[in-house]
Amino acid sequence: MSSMFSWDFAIGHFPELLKVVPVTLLIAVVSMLLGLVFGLLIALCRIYRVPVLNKLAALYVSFIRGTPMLVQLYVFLYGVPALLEALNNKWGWNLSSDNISPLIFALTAYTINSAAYQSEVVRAALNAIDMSQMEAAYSVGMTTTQSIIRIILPQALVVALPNLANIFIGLIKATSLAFAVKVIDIMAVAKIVSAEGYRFMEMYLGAAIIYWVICFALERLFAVMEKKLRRYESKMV
Amino acid sequence: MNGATINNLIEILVKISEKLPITLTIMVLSLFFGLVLGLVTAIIRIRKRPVSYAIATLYLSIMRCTPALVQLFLIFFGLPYLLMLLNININGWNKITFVVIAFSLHMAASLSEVIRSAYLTVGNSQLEAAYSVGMSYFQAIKRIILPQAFTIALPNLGNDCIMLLKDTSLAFTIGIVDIMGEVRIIVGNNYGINEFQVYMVISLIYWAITIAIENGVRYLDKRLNRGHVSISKY
Amino acid sequence: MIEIKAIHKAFGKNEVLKGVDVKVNKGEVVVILGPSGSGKTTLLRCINFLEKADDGELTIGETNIKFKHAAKKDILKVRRQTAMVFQTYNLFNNKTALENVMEGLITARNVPRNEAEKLSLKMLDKVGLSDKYNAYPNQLSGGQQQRVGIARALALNPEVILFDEPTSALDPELVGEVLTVMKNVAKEGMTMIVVTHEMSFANEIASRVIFMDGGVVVEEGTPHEIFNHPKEERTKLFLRRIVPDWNYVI
Repeated sequence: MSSMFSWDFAIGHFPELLKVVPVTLLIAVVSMLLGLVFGLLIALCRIYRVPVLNKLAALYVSFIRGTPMLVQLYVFLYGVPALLEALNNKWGWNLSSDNISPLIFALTAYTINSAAYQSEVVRAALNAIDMSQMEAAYSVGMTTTQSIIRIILPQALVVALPNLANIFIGLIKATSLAFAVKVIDIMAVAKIVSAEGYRFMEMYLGAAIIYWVICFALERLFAVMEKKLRRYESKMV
Repeated sequence: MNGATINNLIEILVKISEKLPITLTIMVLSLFFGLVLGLVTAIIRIRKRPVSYAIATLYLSIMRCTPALVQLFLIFFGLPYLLMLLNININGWNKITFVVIAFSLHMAASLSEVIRSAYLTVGNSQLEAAYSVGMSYFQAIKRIILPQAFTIALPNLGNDCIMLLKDTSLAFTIGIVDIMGEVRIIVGNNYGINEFQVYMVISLIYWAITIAIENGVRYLDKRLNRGHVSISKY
Repeated sequence: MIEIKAIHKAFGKNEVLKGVDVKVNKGEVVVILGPSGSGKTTLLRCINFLEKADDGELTIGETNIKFKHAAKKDILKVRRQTAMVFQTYNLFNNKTALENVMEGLITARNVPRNEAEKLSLKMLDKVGLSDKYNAYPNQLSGGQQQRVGIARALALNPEVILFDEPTSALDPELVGEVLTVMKNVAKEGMTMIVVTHEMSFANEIASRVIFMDGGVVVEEGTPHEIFNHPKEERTKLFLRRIVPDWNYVI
């Protein structure tokens, strides 16, 4: 069984964990932003009930929300080469998935994942805004674009922010699975170093602390953002 | 394309499904202990006695801000060491015990917030009304608060169950052979057969269970939400 | 008979009740008036221990309790001798009107179920809602909910019914139906302590009116005395504010 907790080991290898924090953040941020764009599109498809896309979107959201992130990563990891092989066979192309960096795999998978969740949040937020707001905007002469940008979107943002914040924090935590597609992030480094030195607790504790600090800071940040946005809401009498 | 024939896929489906009871066992146990701990934590956070409230809040923060995988590893690698300090030997312990402990702790955190917010939504005035007709605290909780809180909490409880289901996909990392573990074995044994197909099969299994849970919650929700127009029989 | 002696209550640094004495005899209807912040609602809520008073004593019937050291047993006892009608009705949302009225009887007074049901139906009848016995609170109007609340209180046959601004949350056209019910309750001899702004009710039905301000009893007397011959300056100011174009004889 393992001997005493080695502070030297823990502290000595901590910087290696810190070195890959940017990878984690990169995946989370990019997936969040891209996911927002796609999520918005999907939400609009569903709100306006675009004929075929509406049902497809609903199916897609249900699938993403109903399957574990890890499985989605593996589906991606094995699906892309399989897809390329099929395309190669059908159309005689010569595409190879070997040159695609693991990071791209991860980004795509996480984007597809967060887009589904964000589309639900966007949908709820847009539905929550009274359409009489649009009417009021029209009545003072604004165009549709203007009213959406100046009136609807800001209000929708306030409604959506807490949930989007949760999704982002969830994304940070979900990146801990990226090692499945061979990305070298915090968990990957922790696994590798701990396996080499047979010192598991030291590395995972370090990883836990890093995640906790990041998420805690983010929670505070979002709380401040929310407060500032709500400044414009009147207090209940 | 190396075609995985239909037969092959069904074979895989059967093999995976054999391990379904293990996944479900982990879920049910984690849910049960998570509810118990979650209830205790919720009560601590409602009553707001300084020390216990601070501890509970810290616990919630840690659970919420660290990935489930990390928590699983910490329990798996750290708990035996801790227990050894207390002279408790864990050598005979089943790996499932570790998973259940880790997931119970994780679940309890989010469940406690669900319970707490449902309790607060029901509102103080219901409690006061119960007091005013002479009920004791426990009578009030049992007959008035709990039924209402449960109905309010139900959708969130359903969501947490679904998240628990998806978290069980991590159990294989400490060597448990549940449905995910079985898939890893199959993929490992059959290099060349389309891993993609196998993972699609298991995603469909997860998806099906999720839909089952969602439908179950929806059914319960309808049955519990009397007090809406129509459907009153006496 | 209900008697409160020297009741004190502070919320943090804010002293809301600064030593109040109230005595209510059986069958009396006592109306408490006063500006907001005067402590009248707090006084009421201290009687059935929804607020914990800091000091003073309470006597209901045979029971005597000191607020400072009130035991849980005593609190329950008092709550089973009193009933309250709330400003926001506070009906049990997960129970029908009939079940709401029955609840206290079954749970807190161990009345067998069919007896409770018979009694509750009678009470609902009394407040004019026998056809709504099966409805849930969210299917009833505010006035109907409040009447169920009164039926719930009546069914318990308490020593006193406490009314906490029973009509303040109602739309104007619904106030009348509730006041009518309250007048009938008074006529049947129930002891009532009512905090309200409805002057007409106070004038017609109250045996006694108490005027509170700033945590103390400023003046008390019969409705005629208070409304027509108020002695204190604060009372006059309050009455003038509430009923702007009012003339009183000095």
